[in-house]
Amino acid sequence: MGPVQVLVVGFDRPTFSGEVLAELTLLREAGIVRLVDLLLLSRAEDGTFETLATPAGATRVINA
Amino acid sequence: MTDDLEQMGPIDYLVVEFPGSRMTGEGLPLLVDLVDRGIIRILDLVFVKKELDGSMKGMAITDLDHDGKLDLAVFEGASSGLLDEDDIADAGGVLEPGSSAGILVYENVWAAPFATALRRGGAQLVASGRIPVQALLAAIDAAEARTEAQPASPSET
Repeated sequence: MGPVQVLVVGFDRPTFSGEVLAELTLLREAGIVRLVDLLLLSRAEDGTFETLATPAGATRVINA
Repeated sequence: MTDDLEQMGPIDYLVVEFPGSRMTGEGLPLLVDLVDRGIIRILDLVFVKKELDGSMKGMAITDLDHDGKLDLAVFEGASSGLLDEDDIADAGGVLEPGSSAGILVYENVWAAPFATALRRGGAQLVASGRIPVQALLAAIDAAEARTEAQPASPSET
């Protein structure tokens, strides 16, 4: 197994653009990176966290 | 140049120790393969030896395992001078006397389009780190135990 890394990426708006997913799919298909897990969180003004639904496209990349 | 820098992949460094200075050169074809496939770009590569008295000595990128073949001729041009004496001294701090090491600075070329896509989507990297495989396996076990305890329930918020 290759080294495993975690990234936390912040968005001003809770969007996960198709462009990013497309890149992840390319990397997966090229055998360069395997997406192990993905979690979307939103932080409200009062500091509380909420889990957002994982986009269907992302689930496909994880299960690929 | 600013555009070029923005499109660069993240840069990492590795110090790989060869205890007792036993180098087989086995990993080198794999490194060449990563470069050939455009996955990484080597920005600097230096081989050093920590003598038994603790002093550091640079090694020529030639015949490291003394078998008469030039193992690293392909990397001859890779020494770019990015790594300076201070970096080599730092590497020496984590090496055992009598050991050799390769110090590698490389660009993760593969990650450049991904990083560009994230930036275009308004994202910025706020944290990153490496997860030891043991910790990953423990997390997978814990997740499976949770799934067995409460089957197919949607995640709580």
